[in-house]
Amino acid sequence: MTTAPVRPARAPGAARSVPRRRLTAVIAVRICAAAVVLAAWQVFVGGPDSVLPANAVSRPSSVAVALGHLAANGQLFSGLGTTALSVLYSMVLGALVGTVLAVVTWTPFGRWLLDPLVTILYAIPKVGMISLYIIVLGIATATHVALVTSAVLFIYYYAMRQALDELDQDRLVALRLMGAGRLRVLRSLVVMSALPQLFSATRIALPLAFATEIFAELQVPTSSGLGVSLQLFSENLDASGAVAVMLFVVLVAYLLDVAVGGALRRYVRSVGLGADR
Amino acid sequence: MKRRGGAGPDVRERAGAVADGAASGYGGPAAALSLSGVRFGYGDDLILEDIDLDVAAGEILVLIGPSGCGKSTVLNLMAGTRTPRSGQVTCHGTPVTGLNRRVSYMTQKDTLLPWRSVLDNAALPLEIKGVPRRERHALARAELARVGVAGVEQHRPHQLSGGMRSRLALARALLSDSPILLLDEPFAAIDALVRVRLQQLLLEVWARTRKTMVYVTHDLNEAITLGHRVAVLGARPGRIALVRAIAAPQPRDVARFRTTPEAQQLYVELWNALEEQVNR
Repeated sequence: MTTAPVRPARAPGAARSVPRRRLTAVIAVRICAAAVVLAAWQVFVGGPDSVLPANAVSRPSSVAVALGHLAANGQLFSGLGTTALSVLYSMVLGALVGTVLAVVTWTPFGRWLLDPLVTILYAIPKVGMISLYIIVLGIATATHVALVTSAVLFIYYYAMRQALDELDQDRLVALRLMGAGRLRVLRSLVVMSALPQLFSATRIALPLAFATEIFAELQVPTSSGLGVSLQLFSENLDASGAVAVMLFVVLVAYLLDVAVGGALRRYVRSVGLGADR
Repeated sequence: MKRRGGAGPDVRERAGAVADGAASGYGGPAAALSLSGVRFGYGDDLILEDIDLDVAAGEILVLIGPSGCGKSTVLNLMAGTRTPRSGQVTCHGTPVTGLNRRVSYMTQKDTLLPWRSVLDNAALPLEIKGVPRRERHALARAELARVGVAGVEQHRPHQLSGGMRSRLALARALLSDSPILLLDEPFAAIDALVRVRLQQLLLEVWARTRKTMVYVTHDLNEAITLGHRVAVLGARPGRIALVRAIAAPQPRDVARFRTTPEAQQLYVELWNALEEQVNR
């Protein structure tokens, strides 16, 4: 009888030390690269012989001051709260609609019926839909959510379709032979198999959702949000403030990407997808 | 010994094969699975032609044949995942149309769910049947202990060795409580020593449960050691070329039986039959 179940335990700290050193080196290189970019930006923008005037993109020092000011008076975080809430609603709705649509078009009849329609809808420029959403939903948060949802749902749709196309047919047959119905197959196999693709879709959809939400806030009048702050700074020709807001959005999107990427790696490692036979 | 030219269904021979089974003590005269005049192919590519094969209830039938002759296709037809072009597949007298839920299927690549623990993988068939959590976990723990996978219930499948995964897949198949077990080279990727242990485990499981088993393999020793009967499938389009009953009582001692003169004589006989099919 083979009782040795598992891989040998790793010596504490032994195998981890190399990746940790590599990670430290990567972070150091990234910080150096960012410092070089900032230094170049500081030196080459706004000077007498510069290509770009300071009132176009400002200078890092001015942007840092504006960023500090915005953080101190709370404007940045209250704006982020409004924008992030709208993005959250849209992501949840987009993920739900996109995955359900993919599952529906998984059946031969569903694919025959809906596939051409989905392809046509995907080709429509989403920003062009904004006036339609305003007419239907009015000048409200719902319009923002509708616009962002229509942008991200296709990412989830195609991710889920790929997951379904790659579904392990042997596992599917095994489950069906055990007596599993459609709902059970969906719950126990399809959704769980699709998790890596859905994580990846989230990583792609999040920055797009933020960008689309800010666009919506610029186009559809609203009282708060990062888009509103951006618009105010632009109207006042305050490049430092505008760039500070944009950098803040980039930072938030990056941190979210790191968080989702980390969750994906942890999941993949926990179920041994890379090591699975 | 029964030779078949593959010209068409031979009811007398088929009935005799089942009676052989009954005489060997592994089951009654009723066929658990029966293929009558089965043809199967994709387009112009004919894979199986005029397959007539009965598997008696409680019998272990081993199917061998050259690569690509359609051994796995026979199992797929029995499981109902493929439909014959002509002929009929029946399970306990009922025609198989659609998935045959009276069978469990074990393949070389196990179908364990990597995101579930060992215990939850084993208990999955019971979960699908709606058995309460506490009860199904108790049943799964007991079955895991019987097949030698105790103490790793909370591990994930990727943390197990190949042999342990096979044991887990077997436990899950047994917990599904299907009367028929289809095994498609389930231990092919396992190293030799562990494979012998798994073969012995399979015979112990058979002795305990008396399940009908259809086992596909390339390994003649494995076929001779495990089977009540060994059927040789001819080169494509596959036909049943030979069905050989093995008289030695079950459960056999896997490690020793293959060294007996009887097993060695069978080996030569089956080797010649296979070689004839390959050179055909």
